[in-house]
Amino acid sequence: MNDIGNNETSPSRDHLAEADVRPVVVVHPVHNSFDTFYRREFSKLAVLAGTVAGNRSVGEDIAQEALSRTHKQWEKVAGLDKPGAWARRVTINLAIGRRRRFASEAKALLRLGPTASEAAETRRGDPSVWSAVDELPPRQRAVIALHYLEDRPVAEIAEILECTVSAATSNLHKARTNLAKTLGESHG
Amino acid sequence: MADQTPSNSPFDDRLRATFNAEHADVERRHLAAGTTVASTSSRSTRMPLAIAAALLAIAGFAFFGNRSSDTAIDLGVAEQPADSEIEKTLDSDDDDGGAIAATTGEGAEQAPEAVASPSPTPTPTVGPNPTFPTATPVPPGGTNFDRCAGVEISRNPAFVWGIGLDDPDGGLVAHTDAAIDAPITRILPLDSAGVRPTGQCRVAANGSPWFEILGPSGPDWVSSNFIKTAQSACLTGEHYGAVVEDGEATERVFGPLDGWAIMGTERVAFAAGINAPTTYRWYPADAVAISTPCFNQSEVGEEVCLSGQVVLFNFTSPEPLMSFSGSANARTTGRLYTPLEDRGLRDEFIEVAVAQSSETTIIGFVDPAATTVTFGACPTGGSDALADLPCTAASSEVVVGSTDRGTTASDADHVHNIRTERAAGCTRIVIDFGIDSTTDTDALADRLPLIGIDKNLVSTTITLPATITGLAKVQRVDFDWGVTLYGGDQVVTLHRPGKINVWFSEFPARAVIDIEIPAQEPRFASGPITGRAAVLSQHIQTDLFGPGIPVNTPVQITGFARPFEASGQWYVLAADESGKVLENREPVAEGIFPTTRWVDGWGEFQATLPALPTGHYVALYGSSPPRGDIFFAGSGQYFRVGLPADGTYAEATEILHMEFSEPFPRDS
Repeated sequence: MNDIGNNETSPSRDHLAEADVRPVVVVHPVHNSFDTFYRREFSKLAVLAGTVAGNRSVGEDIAQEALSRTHKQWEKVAGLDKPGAWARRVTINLAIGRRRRFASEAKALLRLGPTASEAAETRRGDPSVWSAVDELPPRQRAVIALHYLEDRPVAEIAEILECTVSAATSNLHKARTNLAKTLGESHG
Repeated sequence: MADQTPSNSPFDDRLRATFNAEHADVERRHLAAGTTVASTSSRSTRMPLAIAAALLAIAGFAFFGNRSSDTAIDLGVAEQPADSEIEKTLDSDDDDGGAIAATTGEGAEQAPEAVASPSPTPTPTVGPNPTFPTATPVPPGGTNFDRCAGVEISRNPAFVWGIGLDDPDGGLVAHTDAAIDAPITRILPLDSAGVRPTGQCRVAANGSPWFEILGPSGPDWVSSNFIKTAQSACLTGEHYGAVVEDGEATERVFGPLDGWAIMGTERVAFAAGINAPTTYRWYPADAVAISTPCFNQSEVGEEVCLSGQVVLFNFTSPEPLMSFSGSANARTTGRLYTPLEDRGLRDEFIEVAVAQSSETTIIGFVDPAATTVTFGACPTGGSDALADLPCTAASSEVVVGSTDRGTTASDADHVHNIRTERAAGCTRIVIDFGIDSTTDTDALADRLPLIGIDKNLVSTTITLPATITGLAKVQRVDFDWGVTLYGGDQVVTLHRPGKINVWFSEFPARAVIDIEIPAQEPRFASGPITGRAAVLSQHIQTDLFGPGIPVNTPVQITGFARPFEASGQWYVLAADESGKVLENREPVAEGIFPTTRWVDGWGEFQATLPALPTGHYVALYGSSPPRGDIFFAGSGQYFRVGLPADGTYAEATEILHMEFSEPFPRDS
């Protein structure tokens, strides 16, 4: 098993919800207020969630929900070395969960609602990149966003996604290969 | 490896630039909007983002939709054409509920009827120095259709209607009151669906009726000339939609979809499920059946058992959502479906929800002609073909000691499911392997991946190859005779000594651990001790050589624990001969132990008890926060040091599911 006990990571929601951890454990002083955290993280979480969900407005909705949950747990989360990782994990789980939960209707509704062309239009940057990203499986989207949006190394991505480094590496490789194929480029 | 760190190839630069541009834009709007923090103090005043997101779809709210402005509401937006100009842009279709008839003259004729009624709508107060032409209120009736200045008012959803792509406002302008010079509240895009009239109507100064509609921040008003009531409808099949009726159809959609529709000249405008604001698109007339729901309704949440060849699918993908041979419990979602052309000719498809785990549920349809659907839960004692095999069955695949199974040629990439089954005298743990873990259509694998197995008296460990990614989130399955922990690259089943068989199958690929439960449980534990936060895989007794031999300290304990932040606590308390903690509740020794996994992971730990004087003790292992509201949860064990056994081989006893506050109670 990986020894990550001393590394930056986060408490699980399940764990925090359990009665056996009712005591408030403040490991580190709370340096940053939630306000600061919110302002710093919202836009990145929104892009991350929007990438996974394939829809910018839904991404902002999910980011808000993730930050709302973070706020509820703030006394604990603030004590972590990197509370942002915790918020990202929540964000990705919400985004993937939402996709799966509404898998049958969502695909059609998303096509009918904010359409592909509209989605591309409302997103900035290269529309063909967004179209290619939207074709990826959700987990690969998350890896791509964490890698290119935040320049996170694979080890950190693995911790956020709660997977092994090899799994994160594999997902990143697959995602880049798929993107390169779709975009007609070589990813080297 | 090139993928380990961000690179700077043109390909990477292209991707990075796109994400940076998107982030910069979201950040810019975020800052421009002055988005407040969702803290307790501000939550009540902040518009929930869900509503804001909904606004996106319904109105192209200037906050989001008007790319040229970052203000929340652009009051400077161009006006809708004056009512006197309306006729030049109206749909000439006469089947529009009378909207076209709302000419100035006709409206003026209706006005006197309304003057006698008191206004049910509060006077608008928004906007600088509001000076409105007098709007005449017309009270709505109690039915779904009433008339206002000759125009029918429906409380059904309506579409924004008759506004061209070249409209200078880009949509229908909503105001605080029924007047074009009343302050603007928002602009509804020209393809908005889900417009909800409240039933309130006012006749503008020029005699044109205006309807009050529900808005994100309260009701506002629009000219009735630009909205049209929709009818319930069903879209079936695969089609392409267009933004305008004569536009190019490029946006693909799959039915069946319940929604609302309005027939146009040659095509039909359709929007799916517009309880929430959305947009409509134009489809071929034969794609949509108006006034015909797609789905019939049935009981919601009813438990059913799916068996035989179980295939879950939706109508938007050629690939099934789930496919396996066996059985599974499911619950109905309340929707039934039969293609319109097949109605009355075959059984309806049944939509069900199948829980794959505590967090993942797959919703899809089953075809009762192919999958057996019976009401009630699947029979216990085995939920699939395994039920036909007796627990601890003799098999050539039974594992003893350390070995491996499977093949590298397997395309399995995750653990699809871990479940327990209970039959008389037997607990069975079934581990299914799956493929396509990164898609929404993951399924059972056929071939067993190359795995290592290590089986001993009290535990079975299955070590998975690095290609298996499905165990990222550490989980625990409790069963009558032990506990299974899985996460990382291992599935560890800690069980009490007994007759244990481990065997494997393919098509589908699975590993099975059968644990035979003796008819009578032993009084004292000799297998793993499980608690809420700790499992002892090597407890105190395992250091003994046999009955009657005292514990030699120091004693090393190993197990799995899930303490907060990977740091657990152990205590040793003095006990009496029966295992009860003595009056003096102060621990005689205590310490902490780290685990190899963080927080929600069941990590391995090792703790060494100090040398202890002769006596009776209880050792506790678990999660105890360092300060504050002390609360301990874990596992425990009674043991003796330096005392002869009493002849019953009672060196250890388990203390299950401990959860109590310190100082510790006597009856632990």
